[in-house]
Amino acid sequence: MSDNAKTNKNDAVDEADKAKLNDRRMFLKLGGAGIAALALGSANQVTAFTNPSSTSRQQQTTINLGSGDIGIMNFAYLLEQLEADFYTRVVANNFYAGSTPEERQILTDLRDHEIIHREFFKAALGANGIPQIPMFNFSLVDFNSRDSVLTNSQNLEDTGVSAYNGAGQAIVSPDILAIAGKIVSVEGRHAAAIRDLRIPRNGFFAPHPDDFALDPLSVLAIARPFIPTNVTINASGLPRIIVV
Amino acid sequence: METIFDKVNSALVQNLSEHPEAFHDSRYLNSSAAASQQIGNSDLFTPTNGRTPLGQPLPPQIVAALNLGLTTEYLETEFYATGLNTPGLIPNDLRQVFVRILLNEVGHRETLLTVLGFNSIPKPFLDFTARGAVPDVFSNFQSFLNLGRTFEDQGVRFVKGQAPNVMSDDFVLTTALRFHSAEARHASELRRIAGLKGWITLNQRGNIPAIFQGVYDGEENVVQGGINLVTLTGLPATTVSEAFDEPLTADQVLRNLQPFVRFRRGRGNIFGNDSNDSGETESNKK
Repeated sequence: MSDNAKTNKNDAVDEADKAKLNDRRMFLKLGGAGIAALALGSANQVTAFTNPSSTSRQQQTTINLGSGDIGIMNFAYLLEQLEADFYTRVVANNFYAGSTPEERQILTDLRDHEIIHREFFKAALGANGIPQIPMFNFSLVDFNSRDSVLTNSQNLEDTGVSAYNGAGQAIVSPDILAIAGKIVSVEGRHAAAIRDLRIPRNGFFAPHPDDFALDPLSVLAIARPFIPTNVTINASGLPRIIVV
Repeated sequence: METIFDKVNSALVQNLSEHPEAFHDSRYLNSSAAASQQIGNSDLFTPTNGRTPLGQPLPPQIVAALNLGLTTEYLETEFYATGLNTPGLIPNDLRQVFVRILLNEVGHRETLLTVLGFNSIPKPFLDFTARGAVPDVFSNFQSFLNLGRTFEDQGVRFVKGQAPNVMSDDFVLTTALRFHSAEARHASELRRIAGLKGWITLNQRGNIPAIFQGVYDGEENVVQGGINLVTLTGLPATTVSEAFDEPLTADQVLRNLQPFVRFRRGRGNIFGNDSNDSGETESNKK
């Protein structure tokens, strides 16, 4: 890794000062890959994340998701990046006070699953993929609080379910629809497990026969608070659909 | 030589539609994909894969997929209803879980019956002991629990396999996807109650008889879209296999259902009376 990239990493830590990143190895993987991807985009984008004097007035970076099935895949890639980053921080924080062995196992599995989803989309999209966002904004999450971690986890998993379910009808390629189907049910399994941790052995894990489904723009509105303030998501090319 | 499976399959397909080839006819998919692309280039709201116009019959491959889905919902609703009505079977602190699942399955069944209308097949004959493989299904909670999560895991894989077959109709596809992730939630909950992870590791079937291995075969896949995700991520195959659920074909599902289900034979019996049935089905007949 270059000196420049190391600088990037340290700045990114400062900018996300709420996160306690104890898992050095995982962090290096996350931060290094993300910044490398950004560096491929343009020199200006690198400057936006590296210049120490610009932390308060960062240069805006726009990420265009694209259109068609590529746009849907980039939309999914963005959500998987968000989920993977969230659980990476949960695990790196050594979970929260009073976490049980089962909770730690579940949250570790979720981190790994979301990293696998993220890396799949990154590889599958190749040159069509959006860059990896190095640090999402989790300023509203208290990583030391069980309630905060699990509530946000449930929100992310339910949103993931609603995103894939809603985007399905916009997907043109049967192959891509099939892949999305392979992922969404795992998100549903996650969502049920987290919901059951919050309200055990109740009907809460699967509240309705028709599970959540939302159009992509509504999903992005839910995700927006987690997107860094200096990153703008351009979703104008995404299919505008009415979820029926 | 015609096997039992062939009989089951042919009986179902005869009942399903005038087009028994529909399950495997890729022409429907290709034409719908081409049509949707044409629409997608010109329509403000893009892309709509389409929707069966009011008054028009559902395409045969959709009828076939929905009727097989209806079969699994018949199975699941009666399974949970019977369990909940067997005194002492389900521990009191778990009853809410099973009530929730039953309500969801009833919702799925009723939606399928509404969408299919006169094309719906009647409830088949059901045997939850799987011809004796699970003799204590309603007297041993662990047997009941593990059979339930097996039904749910299979339900997830079944709908996943049919999604590309119903993608020509937005409403049917989205409804199927919403049912699909609800089934995944059920599976996760029941698996965890049974002491398993909520997600399927490799092709491990857990504590159920070997005849149900078909429900889990193929789940060990770690290659998606031609990308080996163990190689890509460096994470173990156990973890990678958990991160993706795999589809089952209609034939695989029918094979797995064979010990539980005996379909009614012949079109003449579809809407006729049959003595060997519960009252529930009377209201389902159109």
